[in-house]
Amino acid sequence: MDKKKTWITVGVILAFFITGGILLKSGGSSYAAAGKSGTVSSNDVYVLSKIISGEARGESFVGQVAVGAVIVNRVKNSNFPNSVYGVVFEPGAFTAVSDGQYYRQPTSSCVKAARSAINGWDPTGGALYYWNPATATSKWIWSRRIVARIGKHIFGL
Amino acid sequence: MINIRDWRHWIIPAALVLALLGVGYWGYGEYMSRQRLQNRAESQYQKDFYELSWHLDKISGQLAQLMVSSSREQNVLGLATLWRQIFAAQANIGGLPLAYVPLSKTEKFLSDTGEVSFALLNRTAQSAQGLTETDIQVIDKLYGRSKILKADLGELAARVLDRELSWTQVEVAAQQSGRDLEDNTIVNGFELMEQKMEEYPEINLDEEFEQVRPDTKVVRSDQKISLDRAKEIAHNWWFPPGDLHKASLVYEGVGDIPTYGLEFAPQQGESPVYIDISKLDGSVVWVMEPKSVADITTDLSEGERIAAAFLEKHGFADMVLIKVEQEGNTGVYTFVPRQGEILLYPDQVKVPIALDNGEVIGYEGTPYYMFHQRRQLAAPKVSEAGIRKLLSPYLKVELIRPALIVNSWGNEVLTWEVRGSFDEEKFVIFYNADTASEEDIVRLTAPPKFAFSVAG
Repeated sequence: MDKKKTWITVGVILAFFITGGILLKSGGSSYAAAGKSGTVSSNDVYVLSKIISGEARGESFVGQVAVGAVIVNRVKNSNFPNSVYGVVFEPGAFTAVSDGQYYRQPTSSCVKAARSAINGWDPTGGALYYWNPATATSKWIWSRRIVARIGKHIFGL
Repeated sequence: MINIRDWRHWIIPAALVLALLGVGYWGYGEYMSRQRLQNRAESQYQKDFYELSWHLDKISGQLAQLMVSSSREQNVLGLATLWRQIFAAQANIGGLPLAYVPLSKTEKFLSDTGEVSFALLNRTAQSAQGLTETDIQVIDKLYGRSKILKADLGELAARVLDRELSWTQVEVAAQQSGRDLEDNTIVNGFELMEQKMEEYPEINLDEEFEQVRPDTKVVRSDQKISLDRAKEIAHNWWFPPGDLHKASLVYEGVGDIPTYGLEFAPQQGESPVYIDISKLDGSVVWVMEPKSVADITTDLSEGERIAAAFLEKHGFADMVLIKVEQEGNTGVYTFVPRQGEILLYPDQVKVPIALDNGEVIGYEGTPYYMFHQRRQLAAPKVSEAGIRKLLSPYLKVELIRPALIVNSWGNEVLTWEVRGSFDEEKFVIFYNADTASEEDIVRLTAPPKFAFSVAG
């Protein structure tokens, strides 16, 4: 091989590993804030907006309020924990918490949806569960009584 | 010909080996880190599980204790202790990764027992007698169920200890198999418990104990209005005449109220408007207009007038403001109707007002739609003066008025509403208008607010 090509090859390989190393080191920071930021307030709205954001970010506004309403309905139901964070952080209850989507910044649409849900707007009429029919395979979740289908979620009791 | 004695030919292989070692070292670090986190999660789950088992044992013992104790004072103490233990057990269940194992029967046992103990505590604390024979019967039934749970959970705990089974394995397996778990001792153990509980006869809790969810009490028509009619009604209700917004159906609700969920698409960069119309009689149940609200130019009291005018325009007569909340730059006003002088708390409506331009951006009338009706209300047996005598001297009273509320059992009850404050805490206390007992006391002080940032 001629010398120049050798050095180029070495350079490319090293560059590959070095970039790899840098990316691995900085793994978690891909959730950097972007876009305009505003401020909102209040604990429950905060937690609810983050879970809505993690679970229903791409849904229409009604779909987002519906997800929030499911959580609010669970808080009111005696079979579930009595606070918004209790319901949200029940292990395994929400994939957004398990896989870290929850920890991203909520979008302003999700914050509005969270406020509406906490204030009582409920497009689902009392639903306690929701699932995505395209990805849910559990037999148990399908045995729930369906009360609404909004966007890509089915809501049930 | 490659001359291996020439050191320069070793550069690439050496670089590759170093890179490989580097990756290996990093990978080992990641593995160790993951093990630590997994252990941390596992310890948390183990703690919750053993505490659950311990609490269930105590609950079982406490139920038995209630059956043998004969003094009213001891009953009151025993019920309070039982209630606390139930609360703790529920917190433990909330901490276990049981999203994959529906524990409805077990959770139902805990919430049933909690309701019973609260109801009995209420009664025995306020009356002269202790537990009656019927109460003992109910406690006996609950005791029977608690024995099953205690035994099975104890057995499961022993097996977990013995075979060193892991909760995190349950979680991982569940995530991999998409929530359908088979062949897992912990999951099977809990499922077995569930099945046994199902075989046990349903406890028929007395009306006194059961938390009744009020049905749609108002008689609505049996007809179903058409989608086109619903769109027309929604359009005329919310938009000014001659307006050209078009509606489309997003969903049909079959929950508490059968509804058409309509969306009016935005024109020129506004936000869409969502309106829910009841299929039964075409009433508007709620409206949402999620616009972005800019800086405040309208103050809260002006917003109140706008909200009241909005309600009047839509035929809500004589509404009284009971709560104002400001969230960001939106004011949310809660109103209730009156029957004579009596405020009807179950029939609430909420109107959010955008405080940048005073626009009405929504309407929430589900409780009003479900519960509003003319009621037969007797005059209060206790007078306002009588209530004033009962009030705590520490309460700085602002107002007293009659109000109809829903108590914790879902029953409507006539009360005297007393609004006052102590130090910086604001309260509303509801006294039963017939017995003068405190039905409910609500703390009005808003929770501390903090600002957080929002993406886009």
